[in-house]
Order: sequence, then C-alpha cells, then structure tokens
Amino acid sequence: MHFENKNIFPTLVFNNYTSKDGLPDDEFNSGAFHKGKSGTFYFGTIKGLVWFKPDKIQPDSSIAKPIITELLVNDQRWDSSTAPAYLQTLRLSPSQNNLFVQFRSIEMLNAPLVQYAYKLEGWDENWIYSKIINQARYNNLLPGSYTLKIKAANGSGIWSEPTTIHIYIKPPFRKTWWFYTLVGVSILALVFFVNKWLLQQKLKDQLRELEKQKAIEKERNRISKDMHDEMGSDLTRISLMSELILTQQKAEEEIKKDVGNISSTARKLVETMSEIVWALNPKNDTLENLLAYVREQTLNYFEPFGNIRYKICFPDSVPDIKLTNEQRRNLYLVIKEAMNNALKHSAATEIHLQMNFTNNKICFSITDNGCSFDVQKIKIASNGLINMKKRMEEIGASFALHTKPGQTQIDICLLVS
Amino acid sequence: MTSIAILEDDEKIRNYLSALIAGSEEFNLKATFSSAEEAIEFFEKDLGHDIEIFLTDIQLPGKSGIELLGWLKPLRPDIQFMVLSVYDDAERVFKALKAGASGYILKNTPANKLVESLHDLKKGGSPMSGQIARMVVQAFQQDIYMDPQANLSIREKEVLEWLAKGYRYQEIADKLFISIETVRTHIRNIYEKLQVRNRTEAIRKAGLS
Repeated sequence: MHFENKNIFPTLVFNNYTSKDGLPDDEFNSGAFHKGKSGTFYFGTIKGLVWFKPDKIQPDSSIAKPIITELLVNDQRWDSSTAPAYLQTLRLSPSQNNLFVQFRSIEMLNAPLVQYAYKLEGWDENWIYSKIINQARYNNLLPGSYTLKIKAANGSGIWSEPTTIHIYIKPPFRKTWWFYTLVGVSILALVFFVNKWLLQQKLKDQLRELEKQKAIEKERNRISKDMHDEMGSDLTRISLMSELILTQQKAEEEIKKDVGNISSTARKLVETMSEIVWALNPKNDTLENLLAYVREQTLNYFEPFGNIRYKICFPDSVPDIKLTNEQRRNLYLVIKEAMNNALKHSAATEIHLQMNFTNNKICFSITDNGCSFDVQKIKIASNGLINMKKRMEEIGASFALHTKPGQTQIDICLLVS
Repeated sequence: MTSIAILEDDEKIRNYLSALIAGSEEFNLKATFSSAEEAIEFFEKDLGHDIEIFLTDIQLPGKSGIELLGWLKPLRPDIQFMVLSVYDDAERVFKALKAGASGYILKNTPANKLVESLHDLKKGGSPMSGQIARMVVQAFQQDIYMDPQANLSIREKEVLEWLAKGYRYQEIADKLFISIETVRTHIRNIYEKLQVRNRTEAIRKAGLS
C-alpha cells in the first residue's frame, strides 16, 4: 500500500503479493506480525516467516497497452476487415462524426484494479481519467485530424504505453481545398465568359456599325458615280455646246448674251457638282485631303485676280484625321464663302488663309486687309454670314468674325477626336 | 504645225473640239474618231505617221480609251497622249496615265485653256493635279522594284509630295529652288516610271497566270 502522487489527488494504491510473487504461502497466522525498529515488517505464514522492507519492494513495473475491443461509428459497428484492435487509422466522412470506443487492458492479473485514461488529441486538452470505465464517446466531432490515445494502469499505478489510432474526418465537400479551387475557377470562368460575351456583343455592335458605314460609303460611291457619269457629262455638253455657239460669228449678239449665260451657269454647275462629288467620295475623308483640295481650288479661284496677294499657310504635315463628308463639305464651303466675301465685298489687296491644328482642334482663319464692314448691319443683311454660321453649327464647329479698321478675320474651329 | 488626232464619241463635243483646234493656228487636225475600234483600224493601216498629239476620251462605247492607249502607246511611243475627262475623274485618269497618257484635261476647261494645255504637252509639260499626285504616291509605295527605272528619285518624290498637298508648279519650283521647267520634267519622268511599273506589273501578272 502506498500513495501515488502523480495526480493532484493522491491515490491509495494496494499492491497484492501472493505465493506467485514468492511468498511461502498465501495464508498468514493472525497476530503474527511485527514492525522492527529499522522499518522491517515481519509476518508469519503457516509455512514460515516473511520479512521485507516496504521501501525495497518495487511495484509491478510493466503493463501491456490496452486494446480496442469495440468501435462504433454513429452507433454502428465499424465495418472493416481489420479488427478494431489492429486498426491504426480510421477514415471517416464528415457525417460519421459520433464515435464510441470500448477498450480493455489485457492485464489479467488484478484485472479489477486496472484503470484507464484516454485522450483525443486535437479535441481534448487533457487526459481523461475514466478509472475503471473502459469506454469513451465522442459526439459531433468536427472534420479534422485526430489521434485517440488510450492507456491503462495496473494495480501498482503504472501506466502503459498508449494505444493510438488516427482518426481522420474528411471535411465536407464544400470545405475541401479543391472545392474552393473549383468555386474560384468557376467564378473566374464566369467572369471570363461574361466578359467574352460582352466583348462579343461589343464586337457585333462594332461590326454592325462598320457594316452600316460600309453601306453608307457604298451608297456615297454610287451617288457620286451616278452624278459623275450621268449628270456630269450632260452638263459638260451644255457648257461646251453653248461655248461653241459663242464662237460662231454669225450668231446674233442678243442670242450670244443668253448663250453666254447658259455657258457660265452650266460651268458653275459642273464646278458645284465636282465639289459635291469630291465631298461624297469616301476616299477623300481625311484632313490632309481637305487641305490639298482647299489649296488647289482656292488657287484656281484666285488665279484670275492677279492684283490680289493670296497667301496660304498650312502645316507641311498634319496628323491622319478622318473627317466626314459633311464636315469636309461644310468646312470647304465656308472657307470658299469667306474668301469670296474678302474678294468681292471688302476691296482687299491681301488675303491670308491659315490653318492650325492644336489640342485636337482644326482651326482655319481667313484674314484680309479690306475695309471692314459694320457687323450689326452685316449680321442682318448678309445671307453669306448667316449661311456660314449655320454650316458651322451643323458640324458642331465654331464661327467667329473679328473686324477692326483695315482687317477682317473669320475664324472657324472644329474639335475632332 | 502640230498634227493632232481626236477620239471622242459624242458628236457635239467632237465637233466643238474640232472647231477649237481648227481655229487655232498651231494645230493641224489630222483625224477624228468616234470609237477606239475606228482609231485602231486607222493605225493598223499604217496611217497618221505625222500625228504628234492624240486627244482621247476615256469612257467610250466598245473598247475604252485606256484599252486603246495600252495598244497604241507601244506601237507609237512618239505620240503624246492627252486624256479628256468629264471632271476630277481621278481613278480613270490615273489608269490612263499608267497605260501611257502624259496628260489629261477636263472637258469643261475653257477653250483658251484647252489649247494652252495642248501647247504645254507639246513642249513636254505634263499636268498633274493634287488628287492624281496622291494616287501616284500610293502606287509607288506599294512595291519597290529592283529596276531603278521603276522607282522614284528623291527629287521626284519631293515634287510629288508638294503636288499631293495641292501646291502649284510655280510654288514647288520656288520651294525646291528649281525652274518650273525642271518641275515639268520631273513630272514627265514620274509618268514614265509609272508606265514602266505598269508594264512590269502586267508582265509579272501574265507570268503568274
């Protein structure tokens, strides 16, 4: 008998020794005992004397590991080809999370004195000393990895090595890494497909827009071709034939005057149509082309007026900017009109045509040194100015007229993207 | 006197042109045709040896003026061809230039100017508008040939670039510090190179097919 101080509460442990432990006999005579001064105990059996010093007696020092005798999962016997005793690892599904384990020490000697302790590592913080209760129950275990350790102690309070069994409860599908991966991939795929779909829609829209533009271009081409081939040649004929009459000496002066009018009207019409055809042709839809056309046409226009100094100042190179036929036509006509005004109404001797391109703005300015006119009067009277303003409004361009003594300036600016 | 032939399908215009040329003192009207076939027949008979200038419409019933050029230019390289066009018919004019024309003129050009243009052509000057110049620039950008006869010189390129921007011959001459005659020579050479390219291309296409 001794006290074990391994735990907080001391335990009283009885160690039984019998003839199997080396005693002469299991039967002792009553009253035949003595404790000597040195602490030696003396006992008399029916077959002789037994003496021992208690501190010299070592308690039973070995005990076998307990074995698992029963394993229930969700109250069902675990169905396995391996007997529970030999089971090392238990793999369970997330729902198989109620565990019942029964175990027993194989210590035969003093079996009733055997005590048990167990611990589910990963779940329990401390060992559970269940004393003689040889079973453990765990309910509602969470998915994870656990190690169940069971140990037994013999009558001498000597603990065995623990029996271990690894228990692995799989996380539910929605908690596995590949579930997360799958969800992630799905989201990415969704984003990708939605994106792709949107892009396709956008492309479709662009394609539709492009097709529309192509159809418009085709139509513009057709109109300009028809005008050119059908009307152009007929107008040319009128103009040439009237000219022919003019060259005939025998014609009457009165008729010659009328025919002269026909000729100049037809020539003007051909010119106007030439401008329309130029504006219609999609090939001319660039700023560069507009500049070249303006330069050519205005030079032709000024040629007969030899006494006027005419200066064109365009940048040598301009960015590749697309202009619609409407923009080109209106810009061209307003420039022409402004030059015409300078030429016919202001008695100018110098006319400057300038173009600048800054901050995505195409700006033309037409300056002359003629006598400037009363703006108020002009605003009401001149159809030309109203027309120019209207044309610039149509294409979203600005129009400004600046006058001071000896100088008139018209500025037109178009913002392009 | 410079001998001239006219091909124009419209009778009225043909008469007008005839009257115009007959009225001028420098030109001698040798022949008038109303179709390309008629002109081919004429030259096949080995007639018109003294013809120096050939004025032709482009759009004709039957063979076009461009087809006629393609046939007649190799036969009579000495003739200067002038194409008549309704107005800025740039694409057709350009084709004619490639086929061998050295100049073109708009039909509604006032009478005095028309005669003037014929004079210029006789002197060796070839007209080129900005629009045509832009097409020429593009044509030369498409392919680079090994043959130096088919590629532009730096000066020619410069002349073309200014023309494409709408500058006049005199302005270009001033800008490049050359005479207006030199500008005309450059343009004539550009036309010839354009024709060389056109022939090379035709041969190449024929070889491929």
